[in-house]
Amino acid sequence: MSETQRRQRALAIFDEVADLAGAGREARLSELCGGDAALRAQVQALLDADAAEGEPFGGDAAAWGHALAQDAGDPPQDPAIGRSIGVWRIVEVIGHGGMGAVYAVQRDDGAYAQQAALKLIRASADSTVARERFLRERQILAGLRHSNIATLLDGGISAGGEPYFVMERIDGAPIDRWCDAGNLGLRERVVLFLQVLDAVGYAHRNLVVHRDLKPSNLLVDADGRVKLLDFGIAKQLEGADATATLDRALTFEYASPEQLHDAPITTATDLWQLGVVLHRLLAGTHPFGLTRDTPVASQLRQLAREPEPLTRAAANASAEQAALRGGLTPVSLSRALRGSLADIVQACLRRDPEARYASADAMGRDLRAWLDDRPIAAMRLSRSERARLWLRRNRLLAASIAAIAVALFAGTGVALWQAHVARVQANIAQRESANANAAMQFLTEIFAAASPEKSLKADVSVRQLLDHARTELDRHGGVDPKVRQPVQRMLGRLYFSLDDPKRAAEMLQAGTKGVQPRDRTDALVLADDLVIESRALESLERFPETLAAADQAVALRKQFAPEDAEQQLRSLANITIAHVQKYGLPACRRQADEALALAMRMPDPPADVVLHVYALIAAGARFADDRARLLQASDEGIAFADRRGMPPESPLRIELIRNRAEALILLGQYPQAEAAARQAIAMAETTGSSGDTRTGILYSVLSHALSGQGRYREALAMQGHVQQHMPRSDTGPRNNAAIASNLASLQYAVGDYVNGLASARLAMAELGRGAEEAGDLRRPPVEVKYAQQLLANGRTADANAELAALLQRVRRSEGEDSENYALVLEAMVEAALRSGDAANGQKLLDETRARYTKRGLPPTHARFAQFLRYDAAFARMRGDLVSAEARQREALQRLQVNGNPFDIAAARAELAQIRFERGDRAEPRNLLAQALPVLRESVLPQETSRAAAEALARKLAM
Amino acid sequence: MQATSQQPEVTVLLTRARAGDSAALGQAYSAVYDELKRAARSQLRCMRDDFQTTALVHEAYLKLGGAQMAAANRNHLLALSARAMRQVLVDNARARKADKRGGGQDALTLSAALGKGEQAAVEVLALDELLSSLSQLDERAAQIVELRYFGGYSEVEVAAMLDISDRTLRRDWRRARAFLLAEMQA
Repeated sequence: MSETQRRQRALAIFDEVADLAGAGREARLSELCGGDAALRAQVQALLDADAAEGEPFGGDAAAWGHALAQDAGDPPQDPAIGRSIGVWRIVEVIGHGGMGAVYAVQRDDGAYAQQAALKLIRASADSTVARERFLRERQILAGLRHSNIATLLDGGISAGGEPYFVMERIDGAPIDRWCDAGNLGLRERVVLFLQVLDAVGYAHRNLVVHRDLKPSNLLVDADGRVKLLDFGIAKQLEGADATATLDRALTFEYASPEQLHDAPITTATDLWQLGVVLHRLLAGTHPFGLTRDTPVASQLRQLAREPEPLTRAAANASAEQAALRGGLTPVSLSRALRGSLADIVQACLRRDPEARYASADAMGRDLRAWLDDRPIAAMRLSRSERARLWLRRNRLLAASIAAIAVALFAGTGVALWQAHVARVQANIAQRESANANAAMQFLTEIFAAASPEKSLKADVSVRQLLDHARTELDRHGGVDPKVRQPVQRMLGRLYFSLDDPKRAAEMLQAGTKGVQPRDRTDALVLADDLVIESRALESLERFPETLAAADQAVALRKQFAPEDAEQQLRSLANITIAHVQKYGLPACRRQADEALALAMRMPDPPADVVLHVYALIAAGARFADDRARLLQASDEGIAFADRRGMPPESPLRIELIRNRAEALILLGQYPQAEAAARQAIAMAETTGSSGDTRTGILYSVLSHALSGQGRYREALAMQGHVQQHMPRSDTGPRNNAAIASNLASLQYAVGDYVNGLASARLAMAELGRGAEEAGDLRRPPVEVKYAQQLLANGRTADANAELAALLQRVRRSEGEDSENYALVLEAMVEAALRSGDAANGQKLLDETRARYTKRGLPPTHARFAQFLRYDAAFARMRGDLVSAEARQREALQRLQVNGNPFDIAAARAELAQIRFERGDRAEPRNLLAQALPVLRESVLPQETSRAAAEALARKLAM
Repeated sequence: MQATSQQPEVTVLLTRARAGDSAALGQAYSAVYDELKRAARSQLRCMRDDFQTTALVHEAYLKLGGAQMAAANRNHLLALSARAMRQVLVDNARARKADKRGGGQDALTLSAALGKGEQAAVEVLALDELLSSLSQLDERAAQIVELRYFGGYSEVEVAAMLDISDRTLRRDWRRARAFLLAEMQA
């Protein structure tokens, strides 16, 4: 054997004998090695090594990294020295950070006497867009003038296309080292930290977020003044490459959860980082136990846990650490950190950005309160707050509308002391109102009562919670409407976000009834609620009420905010199926396009509304079978969502992908449609952000994509999921008819004719239920399917009667040139085939063919191949086997290009039949051998094509 | 910057990677990583600060959108980060050796200070070579060694990342350890 093989064998043998001992080992060893001395020697070497002490290597990546860096020796003279960037000459290299190089620079023209620090950013700004953004940013940063912020002196783009900032050079030490060096006690540290908060608060008020707050950016100079470096610079690194929306901290150590999960960055991100810094200053450790060298996976894992309480961290601190904080011991340090300080740090380290301190100023106030021995405002997580977070964890994720509902929710509980902010967030009028408070209080109590620690089971669902709230509300019959109605509306929105349109409509109608808005804010809030109400009613197909609510919303916006572009946009985007019925599809499509145009003219249109508009455009295209526009709208919408950094699991994005899948289906690209549908489902299911109806629709799309590929059984299995998610009692008649009809199609395709007929009958009944106009375009296909099912069940006479009547109706309402007319004709061809009426059948077939051609169906379309199969069948009936064979072969050829596997197999089986009747045995066997496996896989035994094929196979004794 | 011309490729790879194509993930990682290495190399020459390997690896991870990935892909990406760390250290160690040979530093005056760095370089290169050999014989064992030494992951973490039981992990590790020690004796 080769050397490699020997060595492999040696390792394997080692594995086997390692646990054996003494004579037993020797015996087995001899047995396995055979006579191979070299092999045995290798195994022995391994065994000896195994018995030895110690590890192969003492170091690891971190240690080696340090060692290699430390002893780099004198670095060669940096070639940058002496060069100029802009009007600045490089004098010295200060260091290299993750963002780029930092140089000490001087201005030759004396315009600035001192040395400054130039930071060259390792990102390119060589596109016009990037340049502009950088320069805009520079303007903003230059405007930050605060005694605790390193002044920005200059900024520009180097010859090499790299952005640079020049700021006053600060000679100082990072805040943690400064505190340790000066042996500062807790109070002194807090006082110093307040300077940091001053600066951050000031910046936030100027709408600048730092994003990279860490000790090395918080320098303390010789005068004891804190200077913050690098404000807003981290923002420059985004947009330089493919991952444009990525905003990052360069070390996970100070990264907030939203930075790690690519969620939107807000001022709350800075609050998190301040919390980490404060924790370190007070207790000497990282709240999550991270160090610079913690490997990536470990960091993520540790950050997912709860932060270590300040007191415990202090208790576990080293004696040295404690001593550095004013000569304390770990025990006394822990004691000193009990209470308010621990709460303050906690309030920064909440995973949910909205639960943190609302501002640096708020945090500062609390720290000052601690210094003065006054009670602080930030609450320890109260029961209601825990309930809120628990509910959140139970996936009350944001649909765009529900996002507002969630914000409403966020107003309860925790931030009650942030009364002002909470009320704005809750969209309740900004005035002291006993009623508003009472409403909040009521809900808080409800949900607090439902928190896990209390009586309800741990796994109570959000829905149960809402139901509980609803019944409670009913029980308190005497509640003043002014209190009751806001609560009802809140519940209504929550129900909507959980995809329970029935309850949502019920709650919202009750909550909006007779409400007279007092001012603009009230009115716009009411308008938003009415829009949700109309959507809920739309799902239930109660169209007159849908329109009423929608129109009321439009009126309110017009009355109270006539000039506001955003409100105009919202009104334009207010399109439902009810509108389509009343004003017609073309008019609605035009309005949707208008809405999009308006949005694109706005500097900062609300993302959720824009995405909704894209979804509307896509839906309109879908109804009109406008394949191109459907695909385009989906793609544009997805691109927009990406640009705005919309999280992947947002239901709006899922909706866009669904539209994409539908477009692909219309284009006949079934495998790609399948992929898109699966993607959407995966996204919806992993985050639970999609309610039942939406998920049901996604499964329906997937089923369609599978069916297009001939994978009928799988498609049928998907239908089970559809029905699971969309029980008939909760959906309107149109949706039910569609679901039943799709089910019927699949059952028919698979050969389950009995159930197929039942489903088709159900579909017809649902159609009858909805108050349909006779001219509804979507009726005939359902009726055709019904007739097909009758045929398949042998009720030919009934089927023919149905079809004849249907043809008349369609001719009258849509005309002979319509798609539905051709569809009915095609069904009649099939009826003729089953009846054995070749003459009539051929005539109908010729007419069908002509009509489809006239409608622009390309000659290469798979449908024409199917027609050739009919041709062949009729020829067979006439006894003309030669023609039959020719047609069938042609059909097969075409299908092999663009048909699905099932159709190809069925065509092969038919060809086999024809050849058999012409006396051949070999080719039929061959064809059947190919066809039968596919047929068996795809459909049930009694399915027409398969049954025929099996019968033939038996004749051929296969 | 060269990165711009590479961008289309990386975008495509990233999209495919996010859709679950793990081969594309490896390629995307290499592409992004090459860019980082180039930047890192210039830093390595003149740095006094601490070695930013971890930062580089983090940055690559974030760039590739590690957070949004499905768990399987994320594990793959994290495993690759250990590979990246190895590459960076090996490059650095080789550069050190090259410097030494042509550098003309005074061996006497710097001998004490150089001890640690030199030793580190030797260890890194030795382990790298051993790993290459081991991966030809027993791929998973080699992976475990790489994850532990270059990735810095604990036993539990490695087992989770490779989706193997603790028992399997310990057996593999035992084998790997024996291999490493035996080879170094030889």
